[in-house]
Amino acid sequence: MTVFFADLPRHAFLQYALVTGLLVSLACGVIGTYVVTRRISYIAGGISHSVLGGMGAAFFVRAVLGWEGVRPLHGAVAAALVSALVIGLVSLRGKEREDTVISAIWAIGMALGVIFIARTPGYAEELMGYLFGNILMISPREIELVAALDLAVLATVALFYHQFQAVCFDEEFARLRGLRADLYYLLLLALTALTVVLLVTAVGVVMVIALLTLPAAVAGLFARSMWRMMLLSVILCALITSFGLAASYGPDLPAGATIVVSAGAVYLAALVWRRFAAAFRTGTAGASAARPVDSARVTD
Amino acid sequence: MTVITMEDAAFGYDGRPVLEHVDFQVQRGDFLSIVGPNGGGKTTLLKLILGLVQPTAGTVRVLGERPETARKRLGYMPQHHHLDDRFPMRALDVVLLGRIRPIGPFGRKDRERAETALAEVGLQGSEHRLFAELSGGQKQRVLIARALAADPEILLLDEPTAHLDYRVEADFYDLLRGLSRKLTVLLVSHDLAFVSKSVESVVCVNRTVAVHPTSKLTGDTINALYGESMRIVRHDERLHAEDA
Repeated sequence: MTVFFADLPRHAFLQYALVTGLLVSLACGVIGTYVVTRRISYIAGGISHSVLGGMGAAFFVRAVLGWEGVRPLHGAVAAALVSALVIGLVSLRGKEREDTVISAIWAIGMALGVIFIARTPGYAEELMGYLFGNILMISPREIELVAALDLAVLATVALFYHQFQAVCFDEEFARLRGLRADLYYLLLLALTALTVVLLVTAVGVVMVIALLTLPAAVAGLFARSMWRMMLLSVILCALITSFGLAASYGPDLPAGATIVVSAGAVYLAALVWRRFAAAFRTGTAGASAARPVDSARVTD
Repeated sequence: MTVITMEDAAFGYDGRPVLEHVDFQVQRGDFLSIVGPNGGGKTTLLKLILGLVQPTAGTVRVLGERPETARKRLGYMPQHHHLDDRFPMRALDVVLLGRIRPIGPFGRKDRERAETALAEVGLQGSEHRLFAELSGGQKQRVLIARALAADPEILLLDEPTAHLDYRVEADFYDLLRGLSRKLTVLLVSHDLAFVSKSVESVVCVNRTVAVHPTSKLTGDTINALYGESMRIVRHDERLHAEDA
């Protein structure tokens, strides 16, 4: 940890990594709150894995066909949005089972990515970076794209905060009040897709879902409204990514994996804390204390 | 003045009829209860009125318009078991959703109306309590307040008596009776004791619809509706409380 802070002023790549972690945390905390409360983490998982297909394709096109303007992140954005749209339409209108379609997109996206990368000469090590993240390799160009995506996500949420809340809490009622609930749901999935792409830069395809859900889940244990949950979740996410990055640097551990393990530790600690706090309040450590909602229930 | 008209309306899923030959009218100021066996089509009747499902035959008119157009003038309290009981919203946030617009934030007037609506259902002072931490009966009141916050002309309630503690039932009758003086109220209820004490007429739903005044709600009508011999039990004195 001390090595990290000693080297931070000297190495630009460490500064880029830290800034990326902080930028990513903004969208992660806000959208993570929706993913947790609307219970769409499996959808987010499907989208994040399908992103590998897009990155692989962009990588292939760039190296083999020589299209220099195409970057893996462009492919990631395209794949994430297409997956979100397909899953969204299936869940709204389709007759197929939603989870089957998500699983298909999850696996096919990854498979396409692996094939494209295998067909691109000499770059097999890139695959590891996409799968598990390489926040230390991030370039200023990519930070610009990350910042732009961040801004798009946050501005949209600021504009439609109440409408998203209405649709997530009670879709039918929102529809009865004249909201285009379908469109808001698709928009929410699109924002989830963009946030997934942001997180892929930090922790890679495989571990996105941890960062998207765990800080928000911890915040959800304590927050009493949506915006408070978002705020707390952003703060937690920023602390966890910064801590994971710093802790991984000295012993030369993979940064993405260290960040995810840190998130898991915070989640576990919060659950334990919550249980003891509830037991302390009610004076019992029984099963009912594990669900504070019940113990706090008041009869009319 | 007639506010809801159904003429020979029908609805079915995948060719299986749920409701057929529904002819009935609701007048402004009516206080009606929809009763009938499970699967008889009570909720479907509400959904037809709200325009959430389209009739497969016949017509439905609400406030002289198509239900999809009229539904912003309706207030709806759904059953709350489909709502996530861990959603981080305070009671006031839930009530405010009655004021939601297709775009844009809430204003001061929305907040004031939401606070009044909470007071109307007897929950003043509970604005900042977490919706998840409320009892079943209190949740129902919050959802009624959400419907009232939209200033509806007709109030539709799906099973408002389902989760009530017997101690608060009396208050609840008073609340609904008070509301029925200002609004047209339709409620779905299984509770025939509640129905016979409170409402003016019952809408009996079992594949089709028949309207009876409550005073004529005899054993024969109930048997005809439920298709078997039912015993009417007044359970004002029951000791068992569902919600305790």
